[in-house]
Amino acid sequence: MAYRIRYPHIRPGAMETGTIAWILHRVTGVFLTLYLITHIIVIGQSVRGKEAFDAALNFVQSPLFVFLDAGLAGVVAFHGLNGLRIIAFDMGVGIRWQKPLFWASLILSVLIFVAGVWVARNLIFV
Amino acid sequence: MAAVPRTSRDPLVQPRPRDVGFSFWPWFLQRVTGAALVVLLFVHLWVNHIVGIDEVEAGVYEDLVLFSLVADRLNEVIWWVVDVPLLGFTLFHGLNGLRNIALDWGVRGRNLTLLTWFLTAVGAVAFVFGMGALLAFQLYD
Repeated sequence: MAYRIRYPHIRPGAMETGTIAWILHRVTGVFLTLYLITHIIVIGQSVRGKEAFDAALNFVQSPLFVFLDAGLAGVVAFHGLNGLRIIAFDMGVGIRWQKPLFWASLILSVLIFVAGVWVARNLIFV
Repeated sequence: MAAVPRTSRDPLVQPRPRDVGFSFWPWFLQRVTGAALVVLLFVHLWVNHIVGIDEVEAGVYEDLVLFSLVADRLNEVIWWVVDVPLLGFTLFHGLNGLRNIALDWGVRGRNLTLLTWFLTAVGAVAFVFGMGALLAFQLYD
């Protein structure tokens, strides 16, 4: 029975670095868009007044959420750095180094996550 | 949903840009807002989530983000110059990114038009609500 593989390049073990970068950029992009809508709704509690805003914001500044914020900073950093990589390629710059540039984006964003946890350590590990 | 033309290995035999869903302005604005957001988000995250951690640890403030602190910040015009583009650029970049994914899936024609209007409506509502949220810091302060 012959069947057509719709995306033959997206298969575990057969992925090129560029494909991994492309998928991660898309996945983080969708995640960040969903987060953005949530973020606007949470900050939008200001329309219900000072007390409602501070109550909502107090809930999302618990140690667990501060830790998740550090993770969010890492996701934003990856999407941003990999985005700069894409812009560079669109301008014809750095395509030769596309693989090391992807790994640099990924490693830097993990370091930013770790740095975020370190900076907020006294708010997370209370 | 129209079929997406096959791409060829021969660089001289490629489908026209519009047949693979490419158009200039969405592509260009995605790059411009993306580059601007790298700067704007760095400032946003630094000022709202790093500056002031010491005061919270010392017990000066209960939380890093408080209504009164945000209201004080928004009394200065420069933060409207940062926050309003931040709201508009993130919404455009995120929703246009979702449209790019639909283009990759092969969404064309009537479905694409409907999706574009739907995403535009979501963006417009979120932008107006976000502006209302910012203005509330001045109204209730």
